[in-house]
Amino acid sequence: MTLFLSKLANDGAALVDVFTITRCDSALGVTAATSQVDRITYAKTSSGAGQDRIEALVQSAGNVVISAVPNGTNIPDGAGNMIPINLVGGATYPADANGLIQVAYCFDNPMFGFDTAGNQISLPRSVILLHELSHAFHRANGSFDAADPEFQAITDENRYRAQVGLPLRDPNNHNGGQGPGDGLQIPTCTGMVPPGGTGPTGPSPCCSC
Amino acid sequence: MAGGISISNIELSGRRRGLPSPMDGHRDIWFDVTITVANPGTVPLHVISELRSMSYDAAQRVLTLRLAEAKPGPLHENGPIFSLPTPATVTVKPHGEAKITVKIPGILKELSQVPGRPLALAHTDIRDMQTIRCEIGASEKPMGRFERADARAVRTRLAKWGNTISRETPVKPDTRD
Repeated sequence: MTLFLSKLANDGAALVDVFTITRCDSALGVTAATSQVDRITYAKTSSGAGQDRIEALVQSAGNVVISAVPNGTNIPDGAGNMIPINLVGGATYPADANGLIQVAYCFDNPMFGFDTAGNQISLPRSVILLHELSHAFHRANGSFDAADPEFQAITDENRYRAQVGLPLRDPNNHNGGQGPGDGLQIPTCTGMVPPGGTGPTGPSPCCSC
Repeated sequence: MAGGISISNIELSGRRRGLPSPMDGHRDIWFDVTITVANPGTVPLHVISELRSMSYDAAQRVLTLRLAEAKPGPLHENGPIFSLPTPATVTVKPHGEAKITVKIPGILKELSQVPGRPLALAHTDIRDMQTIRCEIGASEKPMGRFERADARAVRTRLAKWGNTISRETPVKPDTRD
């Protein structure tokens, strides 16, 4: 009945990205659940597309497990092949016989998508995770658009992009690739920027990833 | 040969080490595989220049690198949702050649589905490989772009694009840790 982080993968990277999606909301917590997963706890103290989605997942009827893995990790494509996760950014597996929905994503490879003008725009790692969590959310809640799941997920992704000030992705263009795109990253979380702005030391490490 | 393209050389680099992980400081081991493709013909050829899939046959010690798209397989209801980007390509001029370099990990990591549990992560040390096999897709026609197509649709369209060639070469990897 909630959101879990796999300890078989890089749970530290996944936690950083969930924290980034909640815009560094201190209400985010982690508790040990089993030897293989930690459980996310969260009741938002601020609103926004990111916070709303993580809270909804934590409160959803489904169980979703996040696996953050590095560049070069191969994943099953469901058609008998193993593909590098850095090629696709992430993947969401439908609920198994035990009701577990799996999200896997790559946390250390620059990727890009396209805006409506056809320009390459960056897909920061927390954006990739939120995109996959959109698929998982709709799977868990019976609202999954099987006819066009990417349009649905990119539309959700764009709400988060708007929240953090990133250019919006074209929901009708599912293409992309490996590379930095426009190079834009997720900005620092509101309230965590040192007085006087980011200054010469750069953005807060919490969310610059 | 695919439209005249050929693989003239496959070269494995010495061991590379990645940057220290910010989480635990460990440094992954990598190799570069540089594939030289030659176009002896009179028209430009478009060649896939990124790794689309890889596999390791531990019994035969053969690493297969596929710079070619897999054929569309049957749909599985437990298959994942993912977007498959249009493959990156390079154009090889007539009577020219191109070098394509791909990174491969020394320790192959693979996720697999285990019902009721998180995705399992298996590690396979592939530094005992003795052979690298490369498969590369190429065509005289540009690939075009796939903007609104799921992975199966991309593979269905690419199955009609060009041909795939392959070549094997023996290797002796640097096995230092």
